[in-house]
Amino acid sequence: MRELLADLATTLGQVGPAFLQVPPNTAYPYISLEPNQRLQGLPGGPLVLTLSIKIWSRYAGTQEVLKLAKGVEDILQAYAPQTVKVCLKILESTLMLLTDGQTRVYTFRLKARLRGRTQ
Amino acid sequence: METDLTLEIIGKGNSLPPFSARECIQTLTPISHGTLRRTINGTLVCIGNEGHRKFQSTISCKDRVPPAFEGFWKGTLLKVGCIQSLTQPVPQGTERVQLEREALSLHLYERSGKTWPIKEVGNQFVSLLAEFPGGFITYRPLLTMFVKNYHLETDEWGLSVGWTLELVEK
Repeated sequence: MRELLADLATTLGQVGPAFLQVPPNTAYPYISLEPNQRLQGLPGGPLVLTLSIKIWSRYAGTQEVLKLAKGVEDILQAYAPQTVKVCLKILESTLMLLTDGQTRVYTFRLKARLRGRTQ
Repeated sequence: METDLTLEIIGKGNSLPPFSARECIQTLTPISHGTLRRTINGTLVCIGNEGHRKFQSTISCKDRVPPAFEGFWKGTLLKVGCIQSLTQPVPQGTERVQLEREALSLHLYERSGKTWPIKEVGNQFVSLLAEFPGGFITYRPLLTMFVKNYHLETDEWGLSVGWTLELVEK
């Protein structure tokens, strides 16, 4: 799971700075990855992970955040890493303006299915 | 990778394009066969033929792209790599297990959940290590099935395609 998150962060780095743990005072815009839920069925079977990818922007208006979101979406649709056997499905995406009136957050909620160890 | 399910018209390849089969649901149900009858002494017995122990299955999904169902009609023969697995208990000391169907992937694990390696697989027989303390074997069956019916539906503005496929084992 950690390997997937690290690879996703590296790959999304093509769009903008991407972090699993956002360092203090990071400049906008940036992308954060947050695992939400981890489910394993059979022992050694596939693993299903629910995660959120958030794009944070303080640009006036929505142009920057939507452009970054398009870049992230394109990468997620074509995501097929060599190191991890995984498939992604985007469940939903939302754009929200925070109460500070400046920060916009575009959130992708997705599921990742990682292959298990089978014989 | 997006699904372990395979639906193959023999000789034509898998009928599931990318983005057509994520989050599938499959049911596997024994077909109705045989009857329960009471003997003259009142003992209940099952009158049926072991050769008629077959499965029927319904597979449904909602994703982005329609599956390649053109050419599927009632009676079309498919090789179905199931996502619904079958499991049997394995008592301690068992060296060889016979599976009821051809297996696509196998998990051998003890009651605590610890996974064990399998020594050898061949022709529906699985050889186990002598040290295996007993537990369960789970496998995804590969079934030869006839198409019974299917249903496709598209939500145009929801950008989603739903499908249901009903199958019966040959």
